[in-house]
Amino acid sequence: MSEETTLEELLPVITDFNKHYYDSLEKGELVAKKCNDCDHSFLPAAKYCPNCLSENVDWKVLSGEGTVYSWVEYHRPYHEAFKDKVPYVVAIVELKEGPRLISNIIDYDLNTLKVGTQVEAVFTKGFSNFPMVNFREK
Amino acid sequence: MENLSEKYCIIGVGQTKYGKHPGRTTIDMNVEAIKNAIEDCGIDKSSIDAVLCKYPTSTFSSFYSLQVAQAIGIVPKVSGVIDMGGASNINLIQYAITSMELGQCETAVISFADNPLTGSRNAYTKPWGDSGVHGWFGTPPAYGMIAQRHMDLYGTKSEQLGAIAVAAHKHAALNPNAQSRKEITIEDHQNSKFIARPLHLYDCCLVSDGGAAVIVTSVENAKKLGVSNPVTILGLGQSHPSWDIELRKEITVSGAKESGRMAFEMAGLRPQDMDFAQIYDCFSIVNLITLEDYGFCEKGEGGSFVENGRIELGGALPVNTSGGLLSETGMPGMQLIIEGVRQIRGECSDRQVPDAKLGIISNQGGIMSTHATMILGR
Ligand SMILES: [Zn+2]
Repeated sequence: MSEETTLEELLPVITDFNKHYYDSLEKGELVAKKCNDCDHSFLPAAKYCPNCLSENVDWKVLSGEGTVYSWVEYHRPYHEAFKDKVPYVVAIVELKEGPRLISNIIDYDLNTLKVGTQVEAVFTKGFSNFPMVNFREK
Repeated sequence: MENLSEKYCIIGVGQTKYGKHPGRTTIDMNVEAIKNAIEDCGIDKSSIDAVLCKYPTSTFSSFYSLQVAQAIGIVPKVSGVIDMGGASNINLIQYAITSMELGQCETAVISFADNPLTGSRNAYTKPWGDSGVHGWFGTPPAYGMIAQRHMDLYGTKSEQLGAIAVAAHKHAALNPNAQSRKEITIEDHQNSKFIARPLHLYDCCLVSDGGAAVIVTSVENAKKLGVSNPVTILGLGQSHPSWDIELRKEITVSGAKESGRMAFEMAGLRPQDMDFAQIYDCFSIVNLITLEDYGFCEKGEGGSFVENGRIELGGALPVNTSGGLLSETGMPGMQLIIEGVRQIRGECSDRQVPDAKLGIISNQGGIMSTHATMILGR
């Protein structure tokens, strides 16, 4: 397998329903879906609100602020693309507006990183210049 | 609705060797396990009219239970595969009983085999959803995420997870079937490398090839078949929290809470009635959380509960008396059912829990995504 093919499998499949999410990251904005019928905010993007199944959902821009719901530090790479990146931290971040997402905590400090740590969004580029949002301690 | 507690039983158990089986197909290992289960109960093969399987985790294959049925020369009235990871075994026993209640079959074999040790392990290292760009891969780190939250919320210590690994390895040392029979200490656990911090190597289950099978029928039919030592199914339960863990309301609570409640209610029993527990332990933290959720201790107190030999043979609640996934075999769950049956039959020699009458078995799959519970007794 060529390096390019292996990186390709790491990238999300862009669909009609998530394209705006990644386009927004490119512009430095974190967005989520918000249901106009029940007010539920959610990620990942989907056509139907998982709470009330309404299709009447719009995008809203989020603050990019949140807290660490939990975290784990990788000590072995599961993919050759991460061979030189260990150790790194993957976290579940709970955003101020409600939705949670999987991301990385960058420039972390194991003495202060814990459940409940306040974090803020940092917009970066991943493999193949793919737009992504990471977080760091506030 | 009629309470089905004590109406059905497990009459036969069988397994292959646990460890490496290079070159063997999973179908072939299913057949060996089923053959051993049939010999174990002494019934005629033609009595089996239902064949239910969990497909091999490593390699999905369509119509898998019919491939197994064909290989054992049975045209089943009832057959199927349930896709609930490690919970599938107990889920399939439940499906067998439901089918028997409908009068569609009388005697079911439930089996599983896989070869991730000498075959492919890709199923356990793949990226999760759309988060591959963040390096979010693999089964151990996902359980690490759960362990870290439990530690940060409740002060659970890595050494307490170590006590779970020590107990499992101690029990496996007494089990001639176990793949790893080496005793370890808390220091060995602490000194083993991080697989995904906070989880050390000894917090993670073995990787194993092998097969295992159980045969289920009604207590009434077991008498007709002349089976000498049936083990009665007293309670069943299931509950399935979520697929993606970031979308789960609380990742330190597992499906064991609701699944266990159902099983204890059906059996009319409480946690303190159990003589032993065979708890799914793909990772040490799962054992700890399941014990909390079953009500053996309060939420958050699992760390101190598992210390000081309480879950070892001779302790207040012997857990995973054959070594569990951590030390007997990494197989997803069928071995725990088999050990429960053998304990109640009193066949466990050096690792026998004295006068074991009642035991609870947990099965779970995914990243604590699914859960099933069974209470056995005599
Ligand atoms: Zn809605």
